Amino acid sequence: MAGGSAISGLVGASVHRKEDRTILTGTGRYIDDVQERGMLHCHFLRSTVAHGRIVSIDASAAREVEGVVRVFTGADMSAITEDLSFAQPIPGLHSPSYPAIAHDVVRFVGEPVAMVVAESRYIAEDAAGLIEIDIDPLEPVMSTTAGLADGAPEIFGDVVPGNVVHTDEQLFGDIEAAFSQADHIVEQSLDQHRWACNPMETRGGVATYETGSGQLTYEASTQTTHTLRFLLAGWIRQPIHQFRVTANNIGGGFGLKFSAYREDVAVCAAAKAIGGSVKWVEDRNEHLVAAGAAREEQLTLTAAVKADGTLLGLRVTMKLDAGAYPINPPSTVYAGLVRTTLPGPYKLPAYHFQHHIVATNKASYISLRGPWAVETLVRERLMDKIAETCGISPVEVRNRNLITLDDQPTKMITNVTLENVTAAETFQKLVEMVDLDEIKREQEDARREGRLLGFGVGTFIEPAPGTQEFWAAVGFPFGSEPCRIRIEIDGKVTAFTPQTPHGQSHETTLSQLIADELGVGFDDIRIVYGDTDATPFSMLGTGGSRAATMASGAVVYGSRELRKRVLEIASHILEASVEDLQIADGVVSVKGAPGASVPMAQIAMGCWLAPEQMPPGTNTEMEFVANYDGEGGGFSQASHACWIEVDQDTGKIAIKRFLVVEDCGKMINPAVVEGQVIGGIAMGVGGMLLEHSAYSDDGQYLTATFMDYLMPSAPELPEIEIEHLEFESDKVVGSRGVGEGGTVLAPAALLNAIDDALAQVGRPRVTETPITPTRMLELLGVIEKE
Amino acid sequence: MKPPVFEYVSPATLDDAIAALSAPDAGDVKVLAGGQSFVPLLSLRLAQPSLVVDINRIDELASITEEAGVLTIGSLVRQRQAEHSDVVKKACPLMAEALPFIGHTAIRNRGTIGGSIAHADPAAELPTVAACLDAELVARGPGGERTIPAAEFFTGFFTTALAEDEILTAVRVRSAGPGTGAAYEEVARRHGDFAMVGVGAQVRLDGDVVAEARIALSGVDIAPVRASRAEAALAGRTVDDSILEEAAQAAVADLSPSSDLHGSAAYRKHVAGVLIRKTVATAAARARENR
Repeated sequence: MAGGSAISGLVGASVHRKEDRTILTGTGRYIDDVQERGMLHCHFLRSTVAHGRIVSIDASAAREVEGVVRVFTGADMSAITEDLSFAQPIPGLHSPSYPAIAHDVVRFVGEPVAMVVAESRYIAEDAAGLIEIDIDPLEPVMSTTAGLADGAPEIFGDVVPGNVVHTDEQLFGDIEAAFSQADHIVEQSLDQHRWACNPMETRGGVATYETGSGQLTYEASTQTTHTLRFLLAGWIRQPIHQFRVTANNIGGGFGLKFSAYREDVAVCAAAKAIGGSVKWVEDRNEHLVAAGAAREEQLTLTAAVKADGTLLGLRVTMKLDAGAYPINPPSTVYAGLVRTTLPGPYKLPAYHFQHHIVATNKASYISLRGPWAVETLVRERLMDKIAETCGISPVEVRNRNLITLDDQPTKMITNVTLENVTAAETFQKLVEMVDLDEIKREQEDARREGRLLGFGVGTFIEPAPGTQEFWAAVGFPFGSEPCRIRIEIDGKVTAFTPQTPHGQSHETTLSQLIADELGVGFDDIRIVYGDTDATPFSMLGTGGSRAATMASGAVVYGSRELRKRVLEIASHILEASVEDLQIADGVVSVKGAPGASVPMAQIAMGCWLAPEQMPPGTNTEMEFVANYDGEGGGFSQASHACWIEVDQDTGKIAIKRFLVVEDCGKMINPAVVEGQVIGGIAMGVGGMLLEHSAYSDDGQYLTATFMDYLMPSAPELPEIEIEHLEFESDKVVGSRGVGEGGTVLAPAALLNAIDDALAQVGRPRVTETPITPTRMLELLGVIEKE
Repeated sequence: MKPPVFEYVSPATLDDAIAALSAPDAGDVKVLAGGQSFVPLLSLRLAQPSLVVDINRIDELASITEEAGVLTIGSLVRQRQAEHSDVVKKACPLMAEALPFIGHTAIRNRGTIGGSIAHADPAAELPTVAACLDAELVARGPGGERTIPAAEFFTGFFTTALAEDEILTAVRVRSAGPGTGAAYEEVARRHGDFAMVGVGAQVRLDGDVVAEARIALSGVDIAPVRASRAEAALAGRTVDDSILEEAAQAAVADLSPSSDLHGSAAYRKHVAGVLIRKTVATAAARARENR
């Protein structure tokens, strides 16, 4: 519905995406599309042993292959690079540094042990097959339990004593008193499996070194160009002013592409060493094996509650399987996120949280869309168990404990102020939209026919972007967000954002905001991203569902400053006061006197070409860098309801209906919001029912193709019904993120529905994921557990 | 995931293809038909042939004919083509029932009848159909043509009785007559995945009595499995719940599937029983309608 003409009121409309023409016509520039002059291709040989000492490596036959340009063993690579280190001054954090290519010990199946650079990927793979490597196997550590056991092999020796990367406990309120007053003690535990990001475009990059100037350019598939640049620069010994990182189209990230990886180091270092251009595109097999995965956490919750279901206190222990090598951010951030967010939108007077982060012989634990999600999963399942214990409904237990708008501002027990949080209101709306009595009747009728239905709900808050206090409690900076905006010489607008959109539609949403603020046409605006030479610095890029608030705020403030400058100049030209002027369709005019007008193009041309001839005392700079502090930030919230049917013959779970009531404040583009919600839920459902990044007991990786790593596909997913609430705050930017919430909350509503079904036939709750058909029949008591 | 170096030929006739396969210097040869399993294996370097013989140009392998009560499906017939064939629906309803379970439409557009059978994935549909119907598998090699009964064709996990220099040219089954009904069911993790368990059943009724029952299972062993004891239990009986249960138990007792990430052995045995009851009941009902 958008066109070239400026119509105010684009914000709030489902404007067609700017991105679509490029992406849908296949004219994007993903890493595999990049062709540089004389570009070489590389392939990594990877360890097939989970834990072992490299005894010898012989690459001589590989070096003889025609078309091979260079083979780097671990020793070769370490001679030209520094070890990767993500160490930070965090008390008690044991963060081992490690080489780009292993030369001493291998610690997971898939760890790079050599890199072949050749004229084609085919040749590189042929040659890699000729490298002889002798690895003396060591006992692998394949679970947190095994890693913490007495006498367990220490996979990083005394760098990570006892394999404990970090452990900590924090106490909030009087937990002893809470438990002494309790009428019921309710316990709930969950062992969540590893699952992965699996973006459509895997990791990869093209590094190009110009031997004359000494400049290095790395075009990467990354969520954060600036962080990638400053992390890599040191490790590859490249002066940062001679180093440019770019990103064009990015085929998804989901958190994975927030870090810098050892392959990035090797590709950049190889390009420098060879003096040319080297491409690496991770293939799906490599991606599944080596890119890392997430969510492998075991939690036990013990709640002190009153007879009426009121929460008094909560004790939580979490073990997190960190895999072998640390990446960015440090794993303490994940633990901090879970700890800080877990009380959610509920009143909780006392809280004790303890975590153990354990190193194992697996690929790295990475960020995955809502990296803290397990807090909502375990909390919402606990609420259902409290309801059952107290003999009240899942709706009632939430109503008795939720923080409503009337209660705010208030502090979470984790010292985070909640203000304008409408989780309770979304839940109220959800309950209004479903007939709980009818659901009960349907379930009873179904059981009489031998069918089994389940129904589950959940609610939560999403730190999107969160607040200063929230991120301080987590132990992660909450930076402001810059944007440089320029009115070009012809009155059209270019905005430079540090966001690196990879599915979030920022080219559309930021253009909508600028169009409304500046009165220029939607198609007369270009959003520039993904170039450290052009975009202002931000550590974060796109991640943490920040952009809806932070990037929006930056363009709004930037647009307003430029609008002010334009109007001041126009007021001289039109001899009218600024208050009487308006901008529409790129033309400044006097309200009520449309004849008195001056095109913005004329003002811009004057400012760029002959600023000295512009009205004296006006600011003729047509470019401005705005910095938006987030106005204190805030939260999104949503409630979900999930209806399932369990096939008691096959254990298959069909989701019959899925209802979402969400509130992300003012929606910039409802179609984009709904796309994020639907995609998020699909990912959450896939994670619980299908996706599993699995290892054997001896550390072999079991799900190395899409035949075994099962992504959800359309037939597995229901239609998702979405109801929007739009809380109106008094802030300039009232929009909140929605990128992660679907993935965070959907697993809770789904597992609650499964538990509901199991309870109807007198079976115990789920304690382990994923819920495969086999596990479902075991839970139903139809088959024996192996 | 790039294939290793291999030689490639694409002959236009069956004779030329066999000549290529049996050339003394051919080395490790693989036949490329629809490529839906073979090309991924190449990319993963799990297959590293020295020569690939592409048979896609050999039109003589791509026809479906029914003559004198025998249905002959050329090995290069696309799965989608067979799925839409009225001749196949009538003469081999079990195959018509099984075909939609193979992957997705795009896969069936390329995948061939012969390719799936020669690949011999024990979880696949067409080997199960062939085993169920005692199909004859026609092979041509340098020494001429021979037919191999399905019971002798599938020798193990991804292995068949085909010689290195032989090409599977056709599948022959006896046309299903009146009083015959068929059903195919499978349980997979997702729509289009290989089955954890699949069951094909074909029942011929004489009045209300089972004259002949044929049942085969996929996903429960290293090759398709015929449920002979279940078939025997059904013969001469009227299909009802108790006989279905008896047949299912007889079949399941003989199974010793292995466990993997997608389904445990206990799961596969249980679901095999469920699917036998379901498919035999459906096949018998269809047989009654088809009298």
